[in-house]
Parts: sequence; C-alpha cells; structure tokens
Amino acid sequence: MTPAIATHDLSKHFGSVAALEGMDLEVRQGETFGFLGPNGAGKSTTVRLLLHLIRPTRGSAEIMGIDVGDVERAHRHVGYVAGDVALWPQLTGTETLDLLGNLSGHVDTAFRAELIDRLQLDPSRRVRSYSKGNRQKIALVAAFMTRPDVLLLDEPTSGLDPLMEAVFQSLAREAAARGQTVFLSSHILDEVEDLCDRVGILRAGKLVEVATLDDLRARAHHGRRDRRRRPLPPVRRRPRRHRRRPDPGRRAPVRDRLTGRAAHPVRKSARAAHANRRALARRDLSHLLLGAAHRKRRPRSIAR
Amino acid sequence: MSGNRGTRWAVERLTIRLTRRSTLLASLALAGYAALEFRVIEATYPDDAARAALLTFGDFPLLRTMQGVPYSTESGALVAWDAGWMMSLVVGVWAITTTARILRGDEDDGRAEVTLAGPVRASRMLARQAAVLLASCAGVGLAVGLALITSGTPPVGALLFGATIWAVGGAFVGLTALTAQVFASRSRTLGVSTGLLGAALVLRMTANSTDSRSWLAWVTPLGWSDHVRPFGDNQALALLVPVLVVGGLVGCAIALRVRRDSRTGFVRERGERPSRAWGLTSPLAFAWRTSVGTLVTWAIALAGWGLATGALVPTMNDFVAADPAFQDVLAGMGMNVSDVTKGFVGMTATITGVALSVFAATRIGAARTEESSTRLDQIATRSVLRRHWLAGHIVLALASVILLAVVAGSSTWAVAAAMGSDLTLRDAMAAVLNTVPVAVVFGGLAVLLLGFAPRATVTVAATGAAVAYLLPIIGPALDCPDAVVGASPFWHLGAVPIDAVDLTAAVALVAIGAVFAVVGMLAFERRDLVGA
Repeated sequence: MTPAIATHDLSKHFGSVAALEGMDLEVRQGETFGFLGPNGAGKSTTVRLLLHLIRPTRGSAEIMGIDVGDVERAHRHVGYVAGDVALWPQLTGTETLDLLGNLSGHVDTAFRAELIDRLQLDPSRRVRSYSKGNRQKIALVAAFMTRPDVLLLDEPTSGLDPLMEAVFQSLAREAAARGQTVFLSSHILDEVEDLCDRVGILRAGKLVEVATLDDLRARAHHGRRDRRRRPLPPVRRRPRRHRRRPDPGRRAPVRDRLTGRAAHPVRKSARAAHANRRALARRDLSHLLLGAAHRKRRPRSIAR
Repeated sequence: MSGNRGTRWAVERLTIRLTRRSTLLASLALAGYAALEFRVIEATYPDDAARAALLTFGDFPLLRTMQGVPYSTESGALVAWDAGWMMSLVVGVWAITTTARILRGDEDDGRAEVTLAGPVRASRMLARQAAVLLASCAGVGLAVGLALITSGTPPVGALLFGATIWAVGGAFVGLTALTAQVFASRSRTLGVSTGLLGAALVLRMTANSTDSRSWLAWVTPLGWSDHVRPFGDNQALALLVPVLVVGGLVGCAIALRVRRDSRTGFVRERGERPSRAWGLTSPLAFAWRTSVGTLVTWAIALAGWGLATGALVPTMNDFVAADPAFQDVLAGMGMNVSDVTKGFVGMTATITGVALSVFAATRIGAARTEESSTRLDQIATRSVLRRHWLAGHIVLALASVILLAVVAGSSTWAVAAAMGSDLTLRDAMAAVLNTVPVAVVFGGLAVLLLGFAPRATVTVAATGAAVAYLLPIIGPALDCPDAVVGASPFWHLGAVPIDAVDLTAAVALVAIGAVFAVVGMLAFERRDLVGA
C-alpha cells in the first residue's frame, strides 16, 4: 500500500541554519504518528514542507504517493491545523468555514455540524472576537470536516482547554479508526502517548529515532539503569511518614483523598509507589525525547 | 523597577525602534524633494521678471485653490507655495499610518499587552508614544528646514517652513491618536483619519478659493502655513495655534484612554452578525469580497477629484483668454496650451494616473498582507494553486483600475459639461484611460517585487510611481539626460486628449507590465511563503 507520507532526504536550510537535515520517513496509511521534538527542532518546518508552503533545499516528499509540489492533487488528501491560526477578523465563523470548505471541495456538512457541536463552537460570532482557543477550533473543524486521508496537525491543541483537548483526542481516535492517517506534531508527551502508535523524534533538525512507544519506554528504562548503574529504589511497603508519626494510642485512619474513606495503609503506599514509578518512567521518556536536545542547545531560528 | 535605568525609557526606546526607519525615509524623501524643488525653481524662474508672473497666479483659480496664494518671490517662498501642499499631504499620510500602527495596530494585534503588563500605565504609555511620534514629526520638519538652509535660503524662513511641516504631522498624530481611542481596529482608525485628512484638504481648498474665506485656513492643519507665511513675513506667532491644537488633541486622547479597556474602542463593533454567503466560493470571489470596501473608498475619492477638477475646466478658458501671458507659465509647468481645456484635462489625468498606479501597488500589497499575516496558509493548504490565487488578485486590481479611471473621467466630464464647458465625454475618458498602461506597469512591478522581494512590494512600487511622475516635470529643468527621464512611463504618454492615444507606447507599457507580472507570479509560486 502507498504510504500516507513519505520523505526522502528531505532537507531545508534557512541561510546557514539547517532547519531540517536529510529526513527519511514513512508513515503508513491509517497510522497515528507522533512527531516529537523540543521547540525549534524543525517540526513546523517539516509540516510546512509537506504542505509545500516552503520548498525543500534538497530531497522530496510525497503524500498518498503524490509529490507535495503538485498541491492541487496532494492537498485534496490533506487537512491541516497550525499551532497559531490566523483567520480573517471581519468574517464570522460560519463564513470562514464556508470559504475554507469551498476551497477544499467536498465537505461532509452533517459531520461539520457535529464537529461544531462537539467542540462547543459558536460560529455566528466574528473571528475578531474569538479567543485563540476558538480560532483553533475553527481550524480543527475546517481540517476534519472534509474527512481527509491525511491530517497534518502541528501542535493542534495549543490554546484548547483540557475538556476540548479530550474532544480533540476522541476526534483523532475516531479518524484513525476510520482509516485516516494522523500526523501529530507536538512537544506534549501526554498527548502523543495517549494517541500514537509510533513516534518520530526530531532533534536539532535531525530525525534521531522512529519507534513504537513501547520500544521507547523499555529503552528509556534501560538507559536509566545504564546511567545510574543501580536498580530503581525498592517499593516501600509503607510510606515513611506513617511509621514516624507518633502513635497517640488510637491510630488515626489514613483517608483516601478522593473518596474520604479510610484507606488501607499498605494499599495506599502501593498506589503511591505505582504512581511514583509511572512518573519516573515518564520522566525517563521525556528525558529521552527532549532532554538531550536541551543539553547541547545551540542558537537556532524557529522556522515558520 | 521604576528606578531601573533600563526600564525608565523603555516605552520611548521601543517606539523609536518601531518608527525610526519610516521616520528616516520620510525625512529623506521630503528633504530631498524640498532641495530638488528649490533647484527647479531657481532654474525655471531665474529672475524677478519671471517670478512676478508667478505672483499673479493668486488670481488663477486652479492654482490658487490647490496651492494657495503666492506671497513672495523669494525662492524659499516659491518652494513652500509650489511644493508645500504636496509635502503636507505626504507628511499627513505618513503621520496617520505610523500613528495608527503604533497606537492601534499594536493593540489590535495584542502586542501592546506585552508592554502594558510591565510597570507602565496605559495613559502614560500613550503619552510617551505620542511624544516620540511628535518628536519624529519635528525630525522630519527639521530635515526639510536644513535641506533648504543648505540650499541657500534664509534660515528663519526655512525653519518656519519646517515647523509648518511639523504642525501638519503633529496635528494628524493627534487626530489619529484620538480616532485610535474611538475605533477598535487599525483599519477603521486608518480609514477615518484618512477621511479627516481629505476633509482638511477640502477645507484648505475652500479657504484658498477666495480671499473672503481665508480665515477657514485656521481651521485646517493644511492651512496653517498660509498664516505663518515662511520666507514671507514669517509670522512665527501663528504657530501657537498648532501647538495648542496638537496639545489639546493628545490630551483628549489620553483622557479617553483612561476611560476605556485595552483592545476596545468607544465605538463597539458587533461581535455577532448574520453570515453573508457572497464572495466565499473561490479565491477570486473572496479577493473581490475583501477588496470591495477599499475600491468604493477609492472610487469616492477619485470621483471627488474628478468633480473638483472638472469644475475648474470652464473658468480655466476664461482666465487664459483674459490674460494670454499665462500661457507661457502654464507651458513651463508641462501643460500643452494649444487647447486650454484639453491641456488642463490631460494634466489632471496624469495626476489621476499616479493615483491609479499607487492603487494598483496597494492592491498587490493587500495580497502580500494575506501572506505575511499567514492567512494565506489557510488557502494555500487547500487545493488552490498559489499562482491562481495571485492571478485573482491581479485580475481584480486591473479591473478596479479601469473602473476607477472611468469614474474619474466621467465625473470630470459631467461637472464640466454641466457648467457649460465644451469638453466631450470621449476626450475626458481618453485622457484618464491613457494613463491605465502606466498603472499596469506599476501594478506589474508590485507583482515582480512580491515574487522576489516581498517585503518591498508596496513601498518600492508606490514610491516608483511618484518618482516617475516627477521625473518628466523636473527632469528637463535640471538638464537630466533623456535616458533618465525616459525611464518614467509617464514620459511616453502622448498629450491626450490633444493628441490621439499613442497605441505603440500603450501596447509597449502594457507588455512591460504583463512581463513583470508573469515573472513575479512564477517567482511567487516557486518561493517559500514568508511572514512579516
């Protein structure tokens, strides 16, 4: 099957700065692919190259087997959401969606109405009066309403509140379930962890890793052991503070913070340990994803 | 923090940083124009005899209305009389655009909040920004004064002339500061302030039309120089009026700023309105929808210009008939005097041509604004070819130019005919349509710039149009070689409607514009989209 996205030696230089260097990547159809990297790693540059908004210095890219330079055909398969959406302030939300729908061609109007409803968007207002989150919602509706084969999402949830972020996640999951490809560029690990099958890690313009999340987790754990040369601290059977608390004769029950019921001290400590270990694993992962780039930081222009 | 040396002048330094380039450009352009005009006056009217004829222009309705009454044969006074009104308009437009950008544009785009989050009150910030803008106007005025002093005019008159330039700039800084408090968007602020500039021009023209109305000149910033009379009797005290007016306007703006929230104005725009479906079906339709408001504004302005000049056509003939000596002076100004009516219509049509060229450049500039604001991304990421999108804007600009030419030509004819002139509609139309190829050249130049140097699109193309207009007028007086003067498209236009339209020249100019546009369009398709 033709890959949804394929790049060959894709490179972009801005003057002497290599924003993207020799990227070879294949994203299968129906896959939800996370594209991770710290600020300025070249994520947006990659997305803009895939949309042919900027032209590669070297190499090529295809979307659904069509060269990205053939924008009339390639863009029929694409929906795009930018992290910072600029719209026409004088238009209303409805007018904006009408315009963008007409330019795309085929709009699923019933789905459009559903999207507006689920994202709790008021399209009768002028764009001028929209907050950043509401502009983002317009872009999300516009991208999803044509049911494109490939969704290129460049930090699509910046500006959305957690509830709307959850709506976005279910929309992305449903799209993937229908066989649409989701290319999610982000620096938010949670979002990518929750949605993606595979991730690519971009660091200083270079694709340093493409792997499944499980692989990465295992490797992150491994790397941590290698570095420290000692195992994770053993899980304590009881939280230390309970043991040290002076006993007033009648032991006060430890209460579960959420339910208010008395919690079994051992169960509570086990839960704390589990959370602790999850947090450690996540820290290791985020370290692997983002940390190395922070250590050898160098001045870079952030390409738009 | 308030005692920190770094923050004490932060607002001033930021404002200077944001305006210094345009201030420098305005200073250089106006100082250069003043120096050039001085040389033209010295070369064209070397002796008092020639200048004495100029003084009688005070009886000449057209020039009197446009430029005021000449009051002295001093070279500097003639510069002030001949070029002062144009320089006032330029400094007014510059003050309006700069002030609207600093005082409303930054707030509209949310940038002002970054500064307002710091330890500075909004009203204090406005006061400090206005102070910098007024100082910039003073800089422009000083540059003009120094240019004239180094040319050899008396220093007092030169500095007073510079002060009148400052007064015009300052008045429009103040007015725009005020409209920026009233209207919540930069475009509305710009539109209303420009309308006020137009009103000020009309007031001055009315004030100059007869001696009995000359008191009106106190009311309009453009008329203050008629009372100061630099190089004449140098009424420095008259400058008290602009000082008070500017102070009052800025004070009002500050008082209003205290009484409003950030990102709002006193005129509220409705957040909600019924959606209108027209103009959303294609890139061309959408370009039409977003540009129709601007087109209507320009059409009203050019119709006004056509009516004003058309009204002068009948009196023109009577005037020249009464005193044939003026024919020589008119000929010296580049007018074909074999037929006064047609010569005059041809001369004003050339000025219309400059306006059409600037219009064409700004329409291509509107396409550039879509790109720099990244709104174009929304269009270019759908199945729309960039060159098709740009072609829509080009076609629209061309159609609008032709429409505006028809509006200007027909309004000139309508008024002239109503007042009993023998000007035919055919001649009036031929005169303005003759200049359309020039607008095609400068529109094409703007597209070329959009393709290769997008950030220079409007400035270079519009400045080019102004220079091209001046070149054939002042070039011969300064003994410029023909090759230099010939670079101006205006030089190649025939004296329509006295002569027939020079088809060869027209076709050649259109071809040049078309080549520019095609090359620019292809370059635009092949380059990266770039932000502001």
